[in-house]
Amino acid sequence: MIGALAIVLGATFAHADVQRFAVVVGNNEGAIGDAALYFAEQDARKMQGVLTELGGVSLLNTRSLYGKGRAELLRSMAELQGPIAGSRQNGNQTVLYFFYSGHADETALHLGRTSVTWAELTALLDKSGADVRVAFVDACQSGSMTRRKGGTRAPTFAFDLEERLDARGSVIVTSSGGDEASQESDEIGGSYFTHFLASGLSGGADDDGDSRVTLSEAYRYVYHETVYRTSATRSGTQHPTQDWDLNANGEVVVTELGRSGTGTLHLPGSNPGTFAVFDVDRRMFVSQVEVTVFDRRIALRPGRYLVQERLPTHLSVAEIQLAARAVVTVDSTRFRDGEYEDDIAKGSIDKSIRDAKRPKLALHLLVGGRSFSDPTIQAAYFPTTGAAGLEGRFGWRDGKYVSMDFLAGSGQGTLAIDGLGYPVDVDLDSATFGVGAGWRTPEFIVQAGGGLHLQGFWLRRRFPDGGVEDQELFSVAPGIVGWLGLHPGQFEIDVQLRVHYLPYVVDGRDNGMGFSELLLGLGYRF
Amino acid sequence: MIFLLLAACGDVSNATFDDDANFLAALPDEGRQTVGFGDDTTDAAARGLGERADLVELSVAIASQVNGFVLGTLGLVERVRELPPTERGDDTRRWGPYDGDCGVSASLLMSREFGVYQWSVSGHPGEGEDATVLYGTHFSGETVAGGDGSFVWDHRRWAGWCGLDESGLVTVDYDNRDGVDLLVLVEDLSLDGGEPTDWTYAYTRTDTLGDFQYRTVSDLADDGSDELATITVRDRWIPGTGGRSDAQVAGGGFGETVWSWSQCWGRTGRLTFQSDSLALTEAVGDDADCVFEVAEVDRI
Repeated sequence: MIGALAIVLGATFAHADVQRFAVVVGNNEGAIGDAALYFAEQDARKMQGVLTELGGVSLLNTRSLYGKGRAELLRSMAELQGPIAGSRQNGNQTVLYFFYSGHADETALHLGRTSVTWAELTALLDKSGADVRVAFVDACQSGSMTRRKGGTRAPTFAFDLEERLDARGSVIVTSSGGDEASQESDEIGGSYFTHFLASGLSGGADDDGDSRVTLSEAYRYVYHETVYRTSATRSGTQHPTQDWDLNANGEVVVTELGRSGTGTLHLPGSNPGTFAVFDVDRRMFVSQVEVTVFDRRIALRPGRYLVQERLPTHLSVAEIQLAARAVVTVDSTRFRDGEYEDDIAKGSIDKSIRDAKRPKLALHLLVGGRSFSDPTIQAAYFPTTGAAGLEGRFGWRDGKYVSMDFLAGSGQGTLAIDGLGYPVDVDLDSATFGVGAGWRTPEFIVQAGGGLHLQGFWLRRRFPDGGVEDQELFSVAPGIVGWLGLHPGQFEIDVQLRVHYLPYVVDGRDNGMGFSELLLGLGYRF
Repeated sequence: MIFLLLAACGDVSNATFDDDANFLAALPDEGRQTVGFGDDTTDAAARGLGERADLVELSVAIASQVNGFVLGTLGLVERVRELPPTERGDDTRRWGPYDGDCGVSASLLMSREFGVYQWSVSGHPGEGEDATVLYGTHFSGETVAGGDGSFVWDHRRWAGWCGLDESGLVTVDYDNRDGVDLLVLVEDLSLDGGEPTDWTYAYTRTDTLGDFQYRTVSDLADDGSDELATITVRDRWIPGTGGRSDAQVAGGGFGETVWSWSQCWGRTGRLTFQSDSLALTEAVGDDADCVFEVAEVDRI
């Protein structure tokens, strides 16, 4: 039903004879050992916007997977097979866009702790049944995908495709070579490749000014800009690649700039320069356009935008309110000078980075035991008891963590008191609330950590034989904690040892008491 | 750290149980209020005919009887060691009622003042009125257990509860401050319908010395006369070294004559010296070889 509805609704936004579908995937998390990315999921959202607003892909024909894994990708690809087949049966030509932003290596995409091999991805695209499959893969060593298929690094030439529309086959565009890293930039708030791909598809790549961006225009634009902007980076120049296996007699148009739901920014050739367009509402750069002597037009969704030209001493900024179907000319009179410190775009990107740097939460179910270290204390006052509870651990990318936990303990025992021939049965109840901070090793299958821990401690002794009132103690117990565990994927299994000092002097003994907790933690990392 | 110590509060303590232990320590204890001989002394009594030291053999047998009797009297006290007090006050404890032998329902009441513990065991068989059968006083030493005191056992009352034809009153003075020192006075003791007799035992044990002496009267001549002989025996020994037994019999069939009989035994328990004043036994060895050269029987 939904599939059929998708076909109907999708057709109203797409060409009558071309129906477009998209699977957009972004994941900041990679495999164990991959440093987490800041902008992969945001880049995917950006591309989803471009494809739905300018690329004729209806939202119902779009599957967006942010921070999802292999299972969700397989399910999404399978879900689209029905609508694609239905559309083809209705005589439409079908185009499937696949966009991926995240980690990868020479063999597979890393969707969090899960993976999809390049071969599997190729098979998934082929199995979709779409007449034309276009894959944009923004990932390290993504050139492995085109290399597998015999693709080569694209030359920096103008791809002059004037084929007819009835195309069959696939096109794969990757962000980097098979042995190259794909880079993110704090300055532009995203990866270079996706930034320029989105910019190009929004109009930056419309070389011939016909308000349509073809695959070849987009590729040429993204190749030039990515190579140019990464040539001076520490990671080295990043070369996008493409693999063209398309039997086409028409031009493959990816975006059309004059769609009804969009407005147009007109950057006249009379005001040359390199302009970055920042979407104030969505807090992201959406395009970067170089204006030489020719006018450039960029199609954008209605909303508020900043058009910035970064000059050596200051910013030149134009604030634009863009309505649907409106054309706003951004000439030199609309610009005002601004300070770099007042750069809203930069502040928003910084906020995005800060958001990405926020700690990850892992929740652990703890089960174990609590035992006092002094044998006399253990025998005469506090027998070992079981304990169980919950721990929340917030971990930062640099290895720091803080934690909060609650443990409840309960158990029965018999006190051994000198001079008494009768057993003193005791029921022990305890509850602790703890906070901790420390460091952990980098994420691998085995991870260890340790730090300081402070516990609020409550304990009650009850004597079931009667005759002696219940006894309680409250204290704050400082201590240390160490843990070692297996962290396969989102799940974590830790063995945790805590050692605390309880500054409670019982019956005039010289000092307080030490106690330890040995706990097994079963956790899930969000 | 000071902050943390201030932050610790509560009322967890074993003081109540420790004080229970103090009360229990003030009660007579089987281990302290019984007579024990060293292994070599017991060996001496187990030697074969002609080698054995007869007197210490007799003493071991007597001690066994004494122990059995004392243990019997303390049985009512030992029971409470396995039970938590029924009631606790700052300076009082009560155990019971609990079941004793012969269907007696007994209670032990203790009180304490200035380190002096007073205690009594009262009870009754069936539905009877409570009466005291065992009571004592204990003075604490450096520790509660390491003190001294006395207790009295009314055997006649107990025998009445149990329907036995027996009588007697037993008084035990003990001093645990340096080893064990016991003085047991048994008056008018009659067991199983026998004639009432008086017995006196004195016993001292330290790490380096054992001393056991008893005195009784008996119709040694077995002639049915009223004149009974007074028998006094004293055994002294040094653990791991050897010992000496001295006996005196006066009165009864001996008239004015006092018969003295001494034996010594060595480290292995073998008889090393024997002599008696009437040459009734074979003379063995020289008393210079005894661990105690001089005969002594006058401790009680």
